[in-house]
Amino acid sequence: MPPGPPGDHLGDALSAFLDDELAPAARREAEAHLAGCPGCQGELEEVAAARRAIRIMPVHATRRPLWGDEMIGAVPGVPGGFGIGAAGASWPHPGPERSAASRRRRAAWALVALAAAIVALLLPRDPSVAPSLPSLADTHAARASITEDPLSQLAPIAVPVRFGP
Amino acid sequence: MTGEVPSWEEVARTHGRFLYNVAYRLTGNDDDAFDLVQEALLRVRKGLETYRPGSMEGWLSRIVTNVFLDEVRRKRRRPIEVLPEDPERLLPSAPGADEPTDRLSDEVQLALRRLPEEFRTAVVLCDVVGLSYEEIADAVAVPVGTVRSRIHRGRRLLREALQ
Amino acid sequence: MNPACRRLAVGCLAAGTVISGLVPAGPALAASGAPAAGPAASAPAPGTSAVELLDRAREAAESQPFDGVVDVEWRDGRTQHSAQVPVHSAGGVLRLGDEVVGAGARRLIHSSDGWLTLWGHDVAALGPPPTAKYQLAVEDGPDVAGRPTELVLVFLAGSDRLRERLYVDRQSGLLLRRELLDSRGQPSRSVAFTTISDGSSAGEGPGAMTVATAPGPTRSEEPAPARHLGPSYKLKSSIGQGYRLVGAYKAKGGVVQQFFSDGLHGLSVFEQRGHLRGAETSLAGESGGGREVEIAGHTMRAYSASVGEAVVWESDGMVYTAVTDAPWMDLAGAVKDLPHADPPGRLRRVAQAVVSLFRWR
Repeated sequence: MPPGPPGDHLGDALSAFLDDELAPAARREAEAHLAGCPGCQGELEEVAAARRAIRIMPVHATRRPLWGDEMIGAVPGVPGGFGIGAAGASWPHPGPERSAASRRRRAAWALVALAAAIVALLLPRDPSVAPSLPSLADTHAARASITEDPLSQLAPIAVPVRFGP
Repeated sequence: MTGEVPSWEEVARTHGRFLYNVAYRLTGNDDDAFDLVQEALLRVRKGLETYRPGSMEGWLSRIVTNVFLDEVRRKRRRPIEVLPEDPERLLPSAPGADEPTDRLSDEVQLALRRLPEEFRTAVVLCDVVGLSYEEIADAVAVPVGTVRSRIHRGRRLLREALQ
Repeated sequence: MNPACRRLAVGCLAAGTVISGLVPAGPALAASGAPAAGPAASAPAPGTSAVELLDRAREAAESQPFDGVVDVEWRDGRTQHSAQVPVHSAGGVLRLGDEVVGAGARRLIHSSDGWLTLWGHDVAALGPPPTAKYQLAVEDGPDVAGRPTELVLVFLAGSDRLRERLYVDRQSGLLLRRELLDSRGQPSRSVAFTTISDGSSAGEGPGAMTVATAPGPTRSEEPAPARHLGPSYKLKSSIGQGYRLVGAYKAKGGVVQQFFSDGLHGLSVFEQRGHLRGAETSLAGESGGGREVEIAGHTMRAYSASVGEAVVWESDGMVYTAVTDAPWMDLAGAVKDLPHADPPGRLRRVAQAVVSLFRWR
């Protein structure tokens, strides 16, 4: 690390470290330095405090319409994802005449569709999850203890057996 | 994601609140924030024609930042027009027109406003919008190293201002 | 409840009012000066509103030195549970057993993965005031842990049914006992000091845990602003009866937490992508089987624990876990307002995948 005044040995790498923007090697170096440098640890706390101060600002909103109402109006919502109807428009529609070319084209499309269906069947399913109830409940109670009363929210977290027999 | 380009109305409705928040954090007062969002939405409208689906918030951040910095540069060229910093304007201008704020965040906003604009922009894009250094570098058109330095110095200045 | 002895006190503090001396944030960020530690707060003046008492109790828990044992009781169906937790507070650091440390707005929680640091800030100004939903009254209270108290009674606005009792120490302002009552007026959940003594205000005793010396690795969770969550997460500004959104956070493993408050109770909704394994889930850890309940015409599993009630269900590729320390009816009311869709069948998923292939540009 380039030498600097005490507490500033890492320079702006300190913020990069905090934001997880350092390459792995540089990150390890920074960690090693911080482990043995209380001055820089203190500086890290300060920079982290500034970062937190901004991150926790609530969304600042206004009730004034940002654009004229006549511009936004009541626009019908876009159908989310895929409606079969919209998709239908992209499927080729066979016409009444059944020329050889159009038959071949239909066959080709059918093969593609079959391949796609096979691929889709092999697609990974959504991951199966098992929420960790004790951990989520602790997180909830800890958060609530800041808004609500600390003692009655935190004491239950400290109870060793938390969920049923 | 289906990769469709949203209409301008959808962008304004879905992301208007996001745009306003970023604009307010950049400018420090509601009137300027409002003007900034209006101008940004105009550019959004034009830009949608060539927009390729990707990170909408990254793209919007770039637009609103550029509008902000353009305005900053414009004011710098004609310093006589810059009004003295008026603390009154930093509080909601019309009661009821804006949502109530809390005192702590007002203090932080005041401190943010004291930062030079380049530092303020970097810090807002990082900690309000949540962009990566690379995305910020792209939005503001400076190297990543400059972004890193601006963020760090911005945070240290903020810290001092909040002492 | 004898109406004659009820002193009705309407909360006079609007949301957003910061009580002077209340520490705004964690380490060293206070722009308004050092935290107030030291001699106990003076006894509340007559006519002090309930809301002021509760706000003062919150402040006292973060700044008063004390030592004691807290009794935690809760009911799970017909089984009554109880446990004791030693509590120690000194120098602005609150320690409960060996598992939980609080310092200002910061929380350290010990779990099997080590210590988790949860950063917070004074969000009291951002949640709704309790008087939006509740009607509060103050009475002379009985002794709790040998100390005379003021008793705060909580009713749902417009109802005569007592919902909750909070006993506040006259001398220190600390909340000594909190009881949640069920529809028959019996405590369904309570937290109460059985013994308490004023700790020494001369800093920390030997062996006391400071925030800086939490053993082992710590990982930190900072609140992530809501816009980080991406467009697929729709944040609700309010759910159930009077629960307003206070913040949205990203927890470990891609779990998103929306935290709501009604002024007296918190309610969290956790969301994670995926689907629930099987019907009889033994949920990662020490949880029991829970019980099956029906809400909004859908069946799901509910659990009771020391920290509160929880419900787990899935909807449209998302697994939801709702947790609250409020009574069951509040939780059910909130859960009703959340999405409940049957998962798309396998055939539909295939159709969707095929269609999406054709929509590439």
